[in-house]
Amino acid sequence: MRDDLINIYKDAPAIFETIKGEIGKVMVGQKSVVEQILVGILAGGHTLLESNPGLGKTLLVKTIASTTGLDFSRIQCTPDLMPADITGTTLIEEVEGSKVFRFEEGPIFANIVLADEINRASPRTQSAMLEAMQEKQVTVGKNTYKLDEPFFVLATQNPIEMEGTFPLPEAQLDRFLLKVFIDYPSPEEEYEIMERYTGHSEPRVERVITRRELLSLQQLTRDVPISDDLKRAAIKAVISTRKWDGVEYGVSPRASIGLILAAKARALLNGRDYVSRDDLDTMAYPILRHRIILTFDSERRGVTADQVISDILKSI
Amino acid sequence: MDGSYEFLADLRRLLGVYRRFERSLYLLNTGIIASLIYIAALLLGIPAFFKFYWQGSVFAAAPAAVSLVLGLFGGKILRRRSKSNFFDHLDETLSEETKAAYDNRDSDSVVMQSLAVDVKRRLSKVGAIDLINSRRLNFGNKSVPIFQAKVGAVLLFFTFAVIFSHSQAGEDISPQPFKALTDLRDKAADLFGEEEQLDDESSSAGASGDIYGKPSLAVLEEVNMELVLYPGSAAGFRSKETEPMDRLFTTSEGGEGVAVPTDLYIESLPTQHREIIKKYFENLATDY
Repeated sequence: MRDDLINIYKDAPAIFETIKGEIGKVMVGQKSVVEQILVGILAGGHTLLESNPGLGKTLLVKTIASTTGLDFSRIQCTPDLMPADITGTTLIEEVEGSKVFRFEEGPIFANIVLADEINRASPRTQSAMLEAMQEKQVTVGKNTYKLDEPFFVLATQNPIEMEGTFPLPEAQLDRFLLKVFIDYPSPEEEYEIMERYTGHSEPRVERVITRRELLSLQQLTRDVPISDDLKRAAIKAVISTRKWDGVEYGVSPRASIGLILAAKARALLNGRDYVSRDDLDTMAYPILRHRIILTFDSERRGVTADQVISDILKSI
Repeated sequence: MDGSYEFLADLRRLLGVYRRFERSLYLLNTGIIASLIYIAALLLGIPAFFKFYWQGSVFAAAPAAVSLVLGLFGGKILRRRSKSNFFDHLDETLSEETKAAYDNRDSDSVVMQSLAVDVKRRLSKVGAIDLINSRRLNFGNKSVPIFQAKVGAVLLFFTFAVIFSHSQAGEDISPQPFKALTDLRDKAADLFGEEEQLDDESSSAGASGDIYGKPSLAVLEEVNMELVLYPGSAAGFRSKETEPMDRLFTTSEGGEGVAVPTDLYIESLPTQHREIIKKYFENLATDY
């Protein structure tokens, strides 16, 4: 086992480069978005992707799933989606003349689950999914079914067309390790996208990492050394959000755990065997932004969570 | 320091260098502060005052001693206020790497072992000079290692203090304003021709020779002047009678008391004192 870890650790930089290369065949630009999603996967957390429609959220998630060779399923969230449509349902089956109950697994039983437009699902369905995300198990009737490892939910939502949506409550947002914004591509990138997707053949990706390798990389992520100073800085940042001017509610201790894990994952992803201050600062935004609830006055003045995080990072 | 990683030996070596460096900085700070205080004291004329007032005594060196004590005190305050630590002296990447490795020295994970090897490789290349030159003082676009800057400052201030102190001492030995006093003293000695004799007598009488008291100091136009009353320069005289003189009293025997009539007693008195004696007794009789 240890020898496996040593070998995978040695190969890790090459594995990451290959994954990035494969994703790069499909996705143009968005390097930091790709990095943040990979950080989420390495840290074993769920990621919420937010962008306007048409920016490739779904394509990105599908591509990442393809490169990892993990089971992938997609849930298109709509207001009439029922919890059983996600978790699965118990069916009555006739076996050798007698009727037996059989559990039919829902799309949540996959390694990578894409929950598209999660804010369009009803709160009841969101709640069922988020419970599965937290517990990594599903309870139907009297039976509990454990989800397979690794398990990630990559949910998307768009900030426009809010009519008929059910914004995720703060407690449920907290279950997402990262919230990643996808921005519009630059003109050069957009030109490249046009070139790639207006021809006869669309780019295809290869599977470059196995499930076992991914699990080992997740284990290695937790082993990345971090200094006590940086741990204290993370705690200071988290505590600062709770008493920062213009913030109604700060972040929970889950955020400090997430921040350290994400910083470790970023270090590993960048081929470093220690966490740097830059890892901490970079990951503070996607980790904290959806957990900070601003006061009405701050929102009225146009202050964003990212601005608050930026100020907090400068102060520590 | 626990753990068995090899980088810890290099870390110990560099920590030793760092501690010596910190001690040197403390001494340099002490030197700078002490020199500055002594220079300020020189400008105020305090060392010269002490030198004149306590000539030949250990108190004459009091300003230098006080400057040194204040320098030590100031150096200690600066040392306490300094927030620098060993890791700040390494370059940013190595500092983060070393901190992470040191804080996780008890872990034996694959990543930690890889980090330990990397830190060992990089720390072994760090020499004492790198550590000393890492802290720099910025002067506009240029920067100087803080250690060299402080050594330079100490030398500069110390040299200045020594030169300034010597220039003041030169003024003290033959101050121009004392010339008139010296001339007057010589003139007085010629007039009385007693200077030598007085000196001999004062020594034979067991006097200490310092009969003129402690010198005073005045600062006139930034020149320190010793206010000394030289022998012979003052008015007055000294008695030459130094032999003890015997004073003898004659004793007489008391006679028998005899009653004398008043008139007869008055008649026996000298004519010029008769009235006053008579009045004395009359007043005496009236009071009682």
